[in-house]
Amino acid sequence: MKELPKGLYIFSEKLDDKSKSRSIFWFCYFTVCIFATMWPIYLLANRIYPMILGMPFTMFWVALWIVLLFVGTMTKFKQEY
Amino acid sequence: MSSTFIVLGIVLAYLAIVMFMGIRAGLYGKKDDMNEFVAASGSLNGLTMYFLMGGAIFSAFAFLGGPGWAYSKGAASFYILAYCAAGLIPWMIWGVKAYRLGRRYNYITQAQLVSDRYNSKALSAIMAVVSILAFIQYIALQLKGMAYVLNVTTGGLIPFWLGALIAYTVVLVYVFTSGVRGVAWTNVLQGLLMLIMAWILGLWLPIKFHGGITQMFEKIAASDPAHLIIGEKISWATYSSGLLVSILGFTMWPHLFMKAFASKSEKTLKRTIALYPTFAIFMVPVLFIGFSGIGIVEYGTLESADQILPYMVTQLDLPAVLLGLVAAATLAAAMSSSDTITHGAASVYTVDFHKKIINPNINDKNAVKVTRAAVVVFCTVAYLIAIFGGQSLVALLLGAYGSIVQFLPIIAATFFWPRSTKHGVVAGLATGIVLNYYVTLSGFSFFGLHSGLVGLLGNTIVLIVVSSMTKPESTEHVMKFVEESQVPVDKEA
Repeated sequence: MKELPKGLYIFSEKLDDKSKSRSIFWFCYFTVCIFATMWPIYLLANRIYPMILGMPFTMFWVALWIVLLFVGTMTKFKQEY
Repeated sequence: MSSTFIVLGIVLAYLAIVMFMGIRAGLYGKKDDMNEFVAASGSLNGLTMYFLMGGAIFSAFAFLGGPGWAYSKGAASFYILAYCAAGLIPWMIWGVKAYRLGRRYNYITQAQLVSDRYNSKALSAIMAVVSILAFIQYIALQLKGMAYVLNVTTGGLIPFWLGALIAYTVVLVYVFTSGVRGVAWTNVLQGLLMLIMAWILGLWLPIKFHGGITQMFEKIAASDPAHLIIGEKISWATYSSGLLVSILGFTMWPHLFMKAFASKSEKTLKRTIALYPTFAIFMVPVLFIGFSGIGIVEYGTLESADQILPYMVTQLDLPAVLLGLVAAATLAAAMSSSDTITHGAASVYTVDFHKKIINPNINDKNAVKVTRAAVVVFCTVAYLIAIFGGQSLVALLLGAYGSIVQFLPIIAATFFWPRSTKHGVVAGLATGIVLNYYVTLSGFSFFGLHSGLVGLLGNTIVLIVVSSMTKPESTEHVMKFVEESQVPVDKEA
């Protein structure tokens, strides 16, 4: 019987380097997007002014990251198909 | 009185259309086949998948809890936007992998996948029970929302118990007859209705009451600046951990796994994920609705902040047609979640509990019968809870989340940690659930951290320790899951 791989098994040996590095890039990108609206990064944007598009800055910040997330998900999708 | 009839007319017309569409959709599918009933034989296309996923997040919460939070808690409600936007991001990992394995081994539920990996009927049963409890809570929540809106918008003409009964009868009928197809097609209609209403109300109410969105926020900033920033009315730990748990937990809901197995192709699934953050954009005006009530509706007027939107539209002399559309949109939001959830709960019961524990040899025809019976039973239980039990909308939703997120370490271990064992995951899951309930019920928490996050930490530690101490499973069996989940299964594309 083959040895059971130790630790985490993140990438199959069959995957090429290009798709591996793409996966790592997108993982980092989305991690940043998600944590941007939490402590401590969100501290940077925790103020009312300047108001942008009618929204207080706290709300605009969250809306901005929604857009950045969407740009990310669409780019990733176009890359694959 | 005449305005009440206009409202009633719009609501009834809406219910009739939904019911007609739902039943009609079912006529296309093959009859009485479990795979068809649960997963539409894996044939749902992009548009229906998009609204299926959207319908799941746009619940009664969107028109009641969401504006309620913005009105009463202010900036804490931004959590809803962030969570909507990022909720499906982890699905790029779990959903895609689950889809591939589901195509190879014909899974239709989440627990099937996991119990196959860990050879454990007990695991399947525990997961089924936890999910069904969370589902029932969720359905009861939607029922309460629908009943409340029907009651208020008709000026009390439809009592609470009757409102819940009417709305649910419609959902029951089309889930019962058409399975997932009924759910998918009605969700397209419901999705459009609630998105349009959210924008109309969200832009129009601030203009009507305050002269514009900027003016509205300027007024709030002048009267109560703490309302617009984090850390004043809600602590950073509570805000951040609540958000994190919600994002991690969102993709653990068993009905999402069913939707992954129901996708036509990997591409369809990935397109849904890519488009999903757009739903968060649609939630922005929903919060404007709540903020517009500040200064217009005195604090303390409402029994519960969730009532802000129905209160504003009924008390502030708005046209009856608008009132009717608000009622219909809220029903749409509530129904499009409860149908998915009801369908999910019943399927989980049959596949993961009935088939594993009670009668493993049940044939397909009888399995569909059992599922339909389960639909009726769960609806009835949820109905009774909605009528007799009382808790705030948002607290209920967050409470249910805490237990579902405890599936995360198991799913992660299935795909990434070959050494994890049956005993490890079962012990971890049990620890996570107990911790979650303990923190929720006792009210004790570390620095205000979310109960689900506390459970998740304990869960992961126990999973790792117990797995390391027990005998590993056969390499060949384990590698099937970690290896094959990385390789696309579709021929084309």
